Amino acid sequence: MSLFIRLCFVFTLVAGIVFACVNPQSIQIDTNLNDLNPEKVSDPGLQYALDSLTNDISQRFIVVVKSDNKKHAADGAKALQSAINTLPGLQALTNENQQGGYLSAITPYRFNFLSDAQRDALESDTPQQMARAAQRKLYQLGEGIRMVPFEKDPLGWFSDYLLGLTEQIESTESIEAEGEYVNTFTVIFNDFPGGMAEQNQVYQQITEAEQSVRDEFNVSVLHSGMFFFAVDSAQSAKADIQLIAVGSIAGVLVLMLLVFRSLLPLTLALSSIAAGVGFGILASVWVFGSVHVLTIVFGASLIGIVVDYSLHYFYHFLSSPSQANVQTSRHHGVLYRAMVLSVITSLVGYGALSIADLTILKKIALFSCAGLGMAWLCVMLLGPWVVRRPIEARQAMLKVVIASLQRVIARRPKALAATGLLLAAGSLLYVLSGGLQVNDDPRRFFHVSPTLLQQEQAVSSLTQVYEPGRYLLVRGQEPQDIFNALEDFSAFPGVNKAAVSGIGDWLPSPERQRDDYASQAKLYGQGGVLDVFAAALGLPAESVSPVKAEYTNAAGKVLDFTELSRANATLPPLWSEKNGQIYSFVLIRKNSDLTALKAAADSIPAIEYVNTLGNASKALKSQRETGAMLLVIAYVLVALLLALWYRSVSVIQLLLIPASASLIAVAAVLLAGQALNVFHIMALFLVLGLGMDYIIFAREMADKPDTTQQAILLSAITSLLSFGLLAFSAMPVVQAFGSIILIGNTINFIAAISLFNGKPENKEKGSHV
Amino acid sequence: MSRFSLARLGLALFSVVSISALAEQSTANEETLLSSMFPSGCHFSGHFSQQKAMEGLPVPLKSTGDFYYSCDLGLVWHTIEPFSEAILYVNGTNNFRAEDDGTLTPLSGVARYIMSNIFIRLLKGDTGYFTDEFAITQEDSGALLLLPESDMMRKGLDAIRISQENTDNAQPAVTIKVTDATGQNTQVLIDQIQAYEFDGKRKAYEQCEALYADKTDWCRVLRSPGRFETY
Repeated sequence: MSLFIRLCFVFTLVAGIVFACVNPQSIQIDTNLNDLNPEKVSDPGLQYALDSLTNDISQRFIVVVKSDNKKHAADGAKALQSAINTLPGLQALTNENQQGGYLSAITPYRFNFLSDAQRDALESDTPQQMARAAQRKLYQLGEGIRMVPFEKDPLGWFSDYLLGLTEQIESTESIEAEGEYVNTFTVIFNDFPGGMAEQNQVYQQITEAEQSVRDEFNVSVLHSGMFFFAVDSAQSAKADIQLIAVGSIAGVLVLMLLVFRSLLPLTLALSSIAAGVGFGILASVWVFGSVHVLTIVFGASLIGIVVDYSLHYFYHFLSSPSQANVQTSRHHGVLYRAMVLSVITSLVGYGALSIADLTILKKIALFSCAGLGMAWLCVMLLGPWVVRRPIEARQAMLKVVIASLQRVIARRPKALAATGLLLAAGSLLYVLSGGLQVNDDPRRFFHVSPTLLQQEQAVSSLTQVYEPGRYLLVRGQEPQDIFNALEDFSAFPGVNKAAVSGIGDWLPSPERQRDDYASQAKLYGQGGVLDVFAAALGLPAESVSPVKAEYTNAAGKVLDFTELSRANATLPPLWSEKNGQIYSFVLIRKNSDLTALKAAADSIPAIEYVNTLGNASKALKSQRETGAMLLVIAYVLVALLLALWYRSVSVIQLLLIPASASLIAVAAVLLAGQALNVFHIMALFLVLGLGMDYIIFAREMADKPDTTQQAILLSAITSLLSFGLLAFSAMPVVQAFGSIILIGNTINFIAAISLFNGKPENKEKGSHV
Repeated sequence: MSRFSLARLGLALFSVVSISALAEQSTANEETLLSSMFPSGCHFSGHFSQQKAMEGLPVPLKSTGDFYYSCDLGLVWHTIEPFSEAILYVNGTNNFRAEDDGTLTPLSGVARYIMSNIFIRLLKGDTGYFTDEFAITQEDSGALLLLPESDMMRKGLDAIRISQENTDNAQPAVTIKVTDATGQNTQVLIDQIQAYEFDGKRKAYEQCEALYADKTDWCRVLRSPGRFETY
């Protein structure tokens, strides 16, 4: 190792430790479930709009308070709103504050809005008729609700327009369903808790507030939102991390102490694990800004891989006949060769995960490769210091274990190889003859607690009025383009206008606003309806002149959705502008004729019908298929590498081992009832990488089969422990990954230990250096 | 269980029973108070004078007219001055504005006419509705003060005051003062109340026709609102 590499290692190590100590708050654990969705958006403007929409959705949740007593439900909802509002970063929204925000934003532009009936009246009625109608309304019994004061809207036209809008918008705040009174409200995060610990704290506070309301008002409280799924997944992942990390570390500790009976080798193993995992975390933070919780779950299994380098290193020295020979250049060259090839195959295996267009797999690839590289460097640089003192291993015990294993499985290596190949062929036949089950539905990737799922379904049936995961995407250069496209859409045969909800529900088009403003000259112009109205009531002309002046000043001013959203943060981000392009989302109401809506959208170039679940499934399917093809290419590349490295073509047949292991693992998981997804395929890259790791080590150290087999045994135990624990994860994606590697790597291990048994004359003597 | 905890349990049970009894008594009192204020009978007619004070308007808006209420049909609220028109309240959703020339305009939307609905329930003597939705107290002047309890109601309404004045007529005059959420006051005096003793929708319709013989369709709208919904 050159001085430069040594200096780089020391610098990185020190820099990492300093960064972690000075900046611990920057190491955030991310629980964003969107990382499991494939990246397919190439348009940065659309990505920005989608991110805004996704962020908005993930930062809202719905709360439902139910009771058979109307008052209890209303009081309980009110108390819960107050309790939630006291929690930092949370705001409970009610129809009242949403309407208030909307009203304050729209009122300055009130001369731009007219209802259809008002437009008709302006067309057909005389100023006298309209003035008389306004006067009548003043006297009318019950004409008590004026949304804006008389002096701002003396004719009451804007008030009527707003009341008409309120009636159009379905109020879900309080309804009666199946004999129960249901009060619903939305909660938004003004300050979304970034880390897992913060999210868990907020979750605890919310559930405590809910429980308190349940107890006090004898009501049932339900909630629904991505936040709860994220917390649930994080909790599940936390349990996995603990299981895998504690299990792996404990396994390594027991194994190292049992075999080496010394703290020195253990120190190197633990140092390399700490350096590897620590650098993996820091690399994730530097590149992605945080460490995803699933990265840590997968990353925890790295412990089992990282420790292999220490084991390989020590067994290389154990294999030397005397300590004096340890530092000879020949031995050093052999070790270096084996170690380099071993880390390259692992890096290729883990690096292949980044081929997939899944952010989570890219994150895992970065974490793992950074961790493996650092751990390897740690072993290579610190190893010589450790082996300065004699290392002793309980080889006798390991030899007994290996001998027992070989008695069972390796008595006839050729028969074993033939059986393996037959099994692989059988597995291939099984897969090709209809046994292949696939499932690319991203919902199957998550683990969701049944209670949470039940709540989600109950809340959805009571409140959700829109199709989940389906919407229309409208594009345009100018705001009017969006409205024109929506108008064409509504006019398309078979489209029910009420089936969709978009910006048109909140705001008329700029053209419509300008036209409506112009039409109201009949109301507020000289000698117009307002003048006639004032005269009929006996009001002095100057009393209405401020309104007329406001009308004149409002000329040319148009309210746009961006300004409306700025004034009313509770509006969903249905409108996004980026690089001169406008994107607008239109939501689809439940139980709508989706075929008709899709047909209409397909016929209008500016509108795209988006089915996010369908698209995600399609993209994941494509990832799975591409992954399978890339796996074949990886085998070809590894074959080339082996052929060039060993300058032999026959060496390529070594690849039959990981290939057979992969086929048998796939057939086994299919038989166990799992349907294949992209995570199974990605795990097959590791079966190749880890399998080649064993085989290369076994081949490189073929003259020392006993030591090699012991090293492989120890290495396999640690790897299988880590991946075995992954296979028992509650998270389906982790389970898929773990089960393939557990089975595949077990086969790799059996092959390595049985097929590279060495010639009898090569049997070693002695157990230590 | 110790004597101490038994005593505490007994006290707690006593408190719960006492509180429920008090609550029931309070509701009964409120209903009695309301019944004494509301017009009695199922069918009656009368006169009204309404005065509305609106912020920003220097002059009060005064109107007068007559009305006919039948628990079987609904309400005809006929404004005579300063102009003639009627509002026909059949129920919460089927309401119309009727002009002298026979023009009928359906009044859509519940939110807009929430005040009218409250008013019709007052005439109906729906004491149960008011005890459920309002906190009712009696002021020193003898007037009843009704304060809405639900947020929804408070959005439009601040308070209702109902008081009674004895008149020469057998039925006392009733003054209803409604203060809405914007601070606007509407005061309605109902007097010259004439109660009718009959049963059935047909009789109620005939009485309506007798009162509004010259008004096309008004009573027919109350009897069969569905036929006029397309107007």
